[in-house]
Amino acid sequence: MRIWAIALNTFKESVRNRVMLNILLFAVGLILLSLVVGDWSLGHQVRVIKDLGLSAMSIFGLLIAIFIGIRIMVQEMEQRTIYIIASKPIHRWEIVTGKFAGLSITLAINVFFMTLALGLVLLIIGEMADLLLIKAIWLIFLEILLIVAFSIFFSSFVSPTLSAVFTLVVFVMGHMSEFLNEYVQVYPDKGFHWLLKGIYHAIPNLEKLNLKMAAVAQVPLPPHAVIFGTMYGLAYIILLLMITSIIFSKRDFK
Amino acid sequence: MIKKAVYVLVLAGLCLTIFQTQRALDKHKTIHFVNKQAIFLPRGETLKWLSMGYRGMVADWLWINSVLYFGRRIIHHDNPYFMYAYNEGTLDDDIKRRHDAHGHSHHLHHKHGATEQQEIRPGSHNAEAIPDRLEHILYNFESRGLLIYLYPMLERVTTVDPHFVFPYIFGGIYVLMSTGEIDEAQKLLEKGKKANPDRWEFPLYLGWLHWMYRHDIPTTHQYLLEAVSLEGCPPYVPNLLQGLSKDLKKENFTILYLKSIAESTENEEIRERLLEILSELESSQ
Amino acid sequence: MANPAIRTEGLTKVYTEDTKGGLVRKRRVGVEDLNLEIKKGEVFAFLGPNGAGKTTTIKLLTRLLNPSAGRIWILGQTNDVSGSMQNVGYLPEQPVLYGYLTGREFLDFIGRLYGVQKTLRAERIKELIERVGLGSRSDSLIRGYSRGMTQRLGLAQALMSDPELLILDEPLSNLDPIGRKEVRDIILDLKKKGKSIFFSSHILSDAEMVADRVGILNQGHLVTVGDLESLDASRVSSIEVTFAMDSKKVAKLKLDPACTIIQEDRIMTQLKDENKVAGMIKEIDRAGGRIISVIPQKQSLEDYFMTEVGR
Repeated sequence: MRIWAIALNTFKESVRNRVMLNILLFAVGLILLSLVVGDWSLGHQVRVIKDLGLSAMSIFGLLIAIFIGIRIMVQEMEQRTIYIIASKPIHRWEIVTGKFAGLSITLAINVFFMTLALGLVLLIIGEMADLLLIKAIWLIFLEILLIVAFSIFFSSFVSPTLSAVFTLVVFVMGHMSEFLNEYVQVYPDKGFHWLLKGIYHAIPNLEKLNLKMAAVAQVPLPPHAVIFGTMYGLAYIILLLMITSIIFSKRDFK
Repeated sequence: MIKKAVYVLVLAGLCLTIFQTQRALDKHKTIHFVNKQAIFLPRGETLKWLSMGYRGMVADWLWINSVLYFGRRIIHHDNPYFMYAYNEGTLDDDIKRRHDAHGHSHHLHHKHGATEQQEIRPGSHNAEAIPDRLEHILYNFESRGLLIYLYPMLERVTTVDPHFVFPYIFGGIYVLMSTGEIDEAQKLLEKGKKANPDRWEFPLYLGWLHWMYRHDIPTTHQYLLEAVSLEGCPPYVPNLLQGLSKDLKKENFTILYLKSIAESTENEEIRERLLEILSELESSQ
Repeated sequence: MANPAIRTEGLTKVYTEDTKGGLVRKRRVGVEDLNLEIKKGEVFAFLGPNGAGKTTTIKLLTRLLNPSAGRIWILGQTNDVSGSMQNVGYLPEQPVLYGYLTGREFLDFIGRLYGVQKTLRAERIKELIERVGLGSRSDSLIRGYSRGMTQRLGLAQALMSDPELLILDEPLSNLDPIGRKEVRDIILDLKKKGKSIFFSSHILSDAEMVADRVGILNQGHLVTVGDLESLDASRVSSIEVTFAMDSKKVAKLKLDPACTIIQEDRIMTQLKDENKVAGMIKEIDRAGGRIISVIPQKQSLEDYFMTEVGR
């Protein structure tokens, strides 16, 4: 009951937030705009619409994830609203989980509306959204959740500005980690392999959650791409939430 | 009261400044300048990791830029050969109309274009490949620009998204026909084939390139054999193959090769097509 | 004795702070070796100047801070489990509540955190809204509440689980006199119901009217604990008696001229010894005077602390 209470509260907080609503409207607008942009591609309208649609979902989802994810934790502590919550018969991990759950619901609804917009645009030009597209959207959603988990994690022990910076860095490194993996193969000094490989496995490999190109080009997916990708994402998220809970339970609220 | 009036005047003045200076800057913006800016883009490999997961989007943007470049070249009234084509009557009606709307007088401008381009007359090595006068004009004017800009752009598009098929073909065929740059085109098509081994387009157009430009019939034959055994191959290709096999007197080889593919393939469509070809070939022997 | 409502043993909180631009770490004592025992059913006022450590103590009790040393028992349970807060209501100093919720929604949220079931929750919310005097404003967003209303809502949320123990940090600040009276009444009402109340304040008069016992904290140390009368008695410095009398008869009273002010027929004098007051009043009466007021002059709280610290 308690986790649900926090989740519901977090959901209300983000939904009653103008910033998020505006970001969503902007994203939907951009997806609708892809109808026009598609025209410039000399016959490849479908491609552009799908690319633009999926990219818009991803980018705007991430923006919401980073900025609202950080707000969620930091605002409590800066505004002292946490005093009333943490002094109740509730575990600190329940607070963390509840906040994450609330934000997940918010993001799910956002992604849902963006998906509707994309579906509408495709329908207008006579195409249907296929299963591959849905799979790509699912993994985009998971990527967003993973970034949310990171921003909640960072903001539990670091200032909001720094949290935003760290989360963005994680995002960038997450997309570059594939290249790191390739680089490891050609690195001359074998001695450092273990270190580089270690870094590679520690950094969240966000490319594993990226099916955008495959969905657009209709390229067949490697087997179990979605299942393993989902498991990877969920495991990482749970790990982050656990560490955040530990940090949060040791915290003093001055 | 006076204060308000001054404010309004200053605001109006600023708006006017913005408007006029932009116009002035636009006047001096040449196509070459605009297009050349894009050459300072990083190489394809770099763009790949710079896109950070949005590679499809970046590839599309690069592609749209290539398309826009092409369109600008043809219809912009800076093009000195535009008037030549206009006078010769080889221009599209639509482009003609648009040009008239700009109200330019009808003589050649020898501004930017003339200093940039060498005079490459028709009759040089690939003239027979260019049937159309407009193509001819484009070749003269376009070839240098295309080489500087278009092939590098297409190279970037295809590196960032190797599975985006059309740019390979655009660069490998249409641009080739306009410029005669056989090596660039072949490189591009081969790159596409490597990244998309099961697309019929690549072996087919590579075959065409070798036939049309390199006059290398055996290689063409080899490529066509490949094309025919791939899914989605259009129905005229088997006929081409047949004709080639006859010319080369390689019917037997063709039959054997195709038979082995027909037996090993799991794809019904391909097998049926191959069996048809086989029956034709065998019957004509 | 039955379980005390609150008990602390050697409670200590030390802060490490960065000073000199983060180069030096300094230790600052919040509270040190605090030993408190609050009985069940009593109202305990926790007094002290600003910065004494009152809020630190309260945060330690409500699990918002981790103690550096020492132990805490709330209603018989050690307070290192979240469950120990089930029957505790806490009102922080100058509470900040979620602006994007309505008062009612907020109370519902708090109720859920306490695990109060749906129907009981709805009932209690209705009851509490009335009790703290929030009325129709309970359905508007907290964002628009005045400080007084926020304080009332804060008190309401502290009562959501019908707690045995209330911990209130400066409950009467931010209220107008009527509000203060209402809150004082609520506290007394709760006391009647057998609840234990622990509150902090820097306004002595608040404590005087409701508290059974008082504790004084200064610079992190508990300086005095005792019931109100003994505390009061030690602080009275003099009694000021104001009366009206025919000025010719004043000399008979043998008043100390250094402590007396005479204005026409109105005389004000200060007596150092409380015990002499009754006698003085009788004399004034016999001399035909009329008592206007008898006011004990107490040391200001700051002066009193100065005295205590000096000891």
